[in-house]
Amino acid sequence: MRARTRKLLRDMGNMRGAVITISLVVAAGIAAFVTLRGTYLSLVSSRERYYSQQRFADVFAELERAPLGLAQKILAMPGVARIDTRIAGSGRLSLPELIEPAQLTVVSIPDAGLPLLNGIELRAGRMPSSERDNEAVISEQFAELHGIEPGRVLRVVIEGRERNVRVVGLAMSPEYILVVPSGASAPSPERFAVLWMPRHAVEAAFDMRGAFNRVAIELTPRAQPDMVLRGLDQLLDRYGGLGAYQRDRQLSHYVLNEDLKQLATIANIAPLIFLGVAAFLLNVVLSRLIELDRPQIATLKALGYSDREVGLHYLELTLIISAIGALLGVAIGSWLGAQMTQLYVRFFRIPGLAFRMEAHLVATAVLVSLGAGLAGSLLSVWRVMRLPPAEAMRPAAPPSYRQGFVGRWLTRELGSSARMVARELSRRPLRTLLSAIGIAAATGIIVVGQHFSDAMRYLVDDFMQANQRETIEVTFVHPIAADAVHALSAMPGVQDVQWRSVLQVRLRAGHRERTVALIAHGLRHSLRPLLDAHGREVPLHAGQVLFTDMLAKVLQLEPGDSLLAEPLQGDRTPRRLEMTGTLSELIGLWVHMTAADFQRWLGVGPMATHAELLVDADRVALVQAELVDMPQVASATRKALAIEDFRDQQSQTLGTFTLVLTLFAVTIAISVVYNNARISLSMRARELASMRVLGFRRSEISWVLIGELTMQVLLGIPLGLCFGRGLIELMMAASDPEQFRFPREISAHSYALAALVTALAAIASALLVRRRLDRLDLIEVLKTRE
Amino acid sequence: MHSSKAVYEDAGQARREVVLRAEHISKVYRMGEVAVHALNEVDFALRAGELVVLLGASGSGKSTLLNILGGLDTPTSGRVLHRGAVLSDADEAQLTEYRRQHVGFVFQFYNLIPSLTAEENLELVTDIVDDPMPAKDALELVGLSERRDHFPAQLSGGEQQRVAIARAIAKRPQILLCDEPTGALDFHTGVRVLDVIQRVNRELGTCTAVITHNAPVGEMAHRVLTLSDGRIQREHHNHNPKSPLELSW
Repeated sequence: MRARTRKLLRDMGNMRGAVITISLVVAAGIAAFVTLRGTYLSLVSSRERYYSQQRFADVFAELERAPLGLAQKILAMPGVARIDTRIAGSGRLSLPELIEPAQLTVVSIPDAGLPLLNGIELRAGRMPSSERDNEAVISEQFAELHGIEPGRVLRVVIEGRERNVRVVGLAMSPEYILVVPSGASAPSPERFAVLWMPRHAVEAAFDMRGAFNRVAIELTPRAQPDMVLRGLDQLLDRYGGLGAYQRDRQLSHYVLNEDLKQLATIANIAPLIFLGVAAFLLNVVLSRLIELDRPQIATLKALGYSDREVGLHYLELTLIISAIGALLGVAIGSWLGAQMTQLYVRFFRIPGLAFRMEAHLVATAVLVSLGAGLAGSLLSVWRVMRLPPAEAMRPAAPPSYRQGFVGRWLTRELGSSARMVARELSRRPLRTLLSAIGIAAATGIIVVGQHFSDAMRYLVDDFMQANQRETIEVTFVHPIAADAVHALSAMPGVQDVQWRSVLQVRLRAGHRERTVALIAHGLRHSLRPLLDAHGREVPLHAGQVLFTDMLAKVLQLEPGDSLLAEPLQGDRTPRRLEMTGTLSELIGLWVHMTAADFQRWLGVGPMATHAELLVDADRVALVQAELVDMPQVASATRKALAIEDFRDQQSQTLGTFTLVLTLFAVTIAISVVYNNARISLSMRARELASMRVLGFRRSEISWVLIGELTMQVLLGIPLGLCFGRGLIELMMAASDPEQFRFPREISAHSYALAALVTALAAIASALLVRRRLDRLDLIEVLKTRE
Repeated sequence: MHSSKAVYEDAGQARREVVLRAEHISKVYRMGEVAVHALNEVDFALRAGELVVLLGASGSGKSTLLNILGGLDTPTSGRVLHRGAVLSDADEAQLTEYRRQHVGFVFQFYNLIPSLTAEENLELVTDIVDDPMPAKDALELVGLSERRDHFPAQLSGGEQQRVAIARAIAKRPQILLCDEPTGALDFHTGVRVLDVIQRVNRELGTCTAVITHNAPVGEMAHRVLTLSDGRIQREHHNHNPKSPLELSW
């Protein structure tokens, strides 16, 4: 081994605290990069591969019923490459272990062969035989969660008729990567199943012989999507078309995409923070090492080593630290990435979805970490190269202090220790600031981690619980007369029944257009009150038509403006609708009016599409069972179960995520404080030893060091709280504002926790260094000239 | 004023109070396999008002002796007594207290705090002791009143050492220990520094021990001890100590 290499290794041994902590910060950055970016890339590439394998459609439309002959006309439209028509309908499925029946979507597949678009991938068993009408393939995820295997006979209710269906295979489809049951706020794979059955069987079940109610279209490469959508809407208009939409509004794809966008944002930001901190720490540590190494640098140069060789020697040190960090980070990242992808596999049904470490990802990770190392060390290395040997032989010029910005009047009032701290801070304001920023990064990351729990708590407690006060929500197969709804209150245990009517409408204001749900609220709607963004109840008066404020913004409407609204169900004649005011809402785009106004506007009688029931706790199961058996009821869901589902699902993912973020943040905090304290100690060892000789006690000199760190931490924590808030803003900006507009408010608890964790990490690192302070060799320090 | 010179000359040597006494002290350093005897059965007494110079080459054990007397180090065997209290048994905290209240140190490399001005370096000490001298007075004593707002980096070596002396005496120590105070200074500056040390000894009556390898410095002392190989080889009394201004080397 060459002597130079040996020196390098020994230097590293001597500064192993710094080597370890900085490597860990680099590793955290690289791990974050590999985990998040790798998971993102794995998801996107598996999804794309899956989409193209199964010919996932570009355009979708739902309608009431159209004759099969219409398909030819659709195919003839310019821009349409391929078309698939099918019948889909809902049903329900009871399983012994399910408290309430699962929602079922029954989808037709060709009697012979596979669907042209939105193909299904058989995962087990076989496809249904075209000769039988009771065989089906069921969605794999649901089957797995409930232990359903091919051969099992299920009791299902379709169109109010109970029947036996034999499961012959398990499958998945790009249309149902994420399944969100109606009435649920999040994917809920336990409560939602897809049954694929041969066309003739589905035709019979839904009375749709020779007809279809779903269209999927593959566009030609040069198609103009807007033209196709418009043409399709025109064609489907007569047949009860609900408005064609592109892939980006397809439910499964949309939810998946929102998740991926969030992931991509975090994947871009998090590694930058870690590597930035690592670069700063390398810079601090290396500058100090070089200051201490001046005589050695001079000796090396005097011995005939070139500037380049000496510079390279110090560069190697940082590159080794970066490399250790990169290796560790790639290892941790590939493990964490696999874990994270596993979490996604639970919810995202993409065949072959596995964490893949692409070579380019590893290469990028290594390059990025070396880049951070270089960025942190270039300045110091440059100084080493420029140092003339004769100058290096002499000790560095003593640090010069001035009264500085702290000012004479202020320091006059301080004790000696405080004065020393103040002078040091004002002498190196940039380092103080950068250290504070490093600490701020740690605090900010903890705030972000906590925010996910906050947002979740907010969503569940302040939104779901406050907004959905019913015990059971009922969705009807077809709108039913309000009187029939009131009859439900006769059921024993039912305290209250309220109803509302939801109608899909297409709103047009100039060239701006949105398809939204119009909600007609019954006279009493205390179970589903109108809430604004602050959770305040907003009364709804006769004559009022309230738009979600975001909808008014999208359509550029002012109160008093009117527009054309085309109902997408029933009589589709477009009619004028005047917006009288707006309502700030957190989720989705809506139009609200009273049921009486709605009936007048549409010229219909009181009809309900949904009902909300308040039921005695001990009667809930019975009432629900009874409701589910009613032919006109499409679903009857218990709010508490839906919320619990949601909470369960989110808390595991969020818990893991928050824990990892917090651990990474603690790594940063410890590393920043520890390295700063070590460097300060190294620079002040002589001063502190002199003070000990003068009769200062250990605790007294500790304050000089701790005071400096305290200032950095005191500056860093509030900065970090702001920083965390900024990061959250940045991440929220990635989500679709037309869907989610959650407040960015962060709870005092989260702020407090972030501050506390950072402070504890700082104290722990300060104590580590304090031990060294106790071992200060007074005599040795006094004998040498710095 | 009742100067210490007067005290010293009025009293016979034997009658003067012993401030600090070392009895048979030895110091052995273990350096790997080898035991180094830095001090070997040394007896030493520092009396009130006395100025002693410890002469010796490097490695003679003089710094080890000074460190032990100053409470920076403890002997391997033997006893150190400060006004009857046994220092050699004291724990870390007691030694700190001893240094804090009774000992003033002056070092070869000044050991000033770079981030504090001259006056503030003095306040560093006056802040923590019971009955300090005002910082201004101490600076005036070393002739640096004008420079009190300067930081160490803005002072010459000699000035820095005078600040260090002022800092050492500002606590009104009973004992002033100076380890090669002129080691890093040129002749003229060194002489000025020694003059200040002698003046402090005379005017404040602080008993003072000065370490040097420079034999002529001994002429300013009441007593000169020559050390080599960890033993006191020779003791010499000056009945008429010279002023440092008369010295030359």
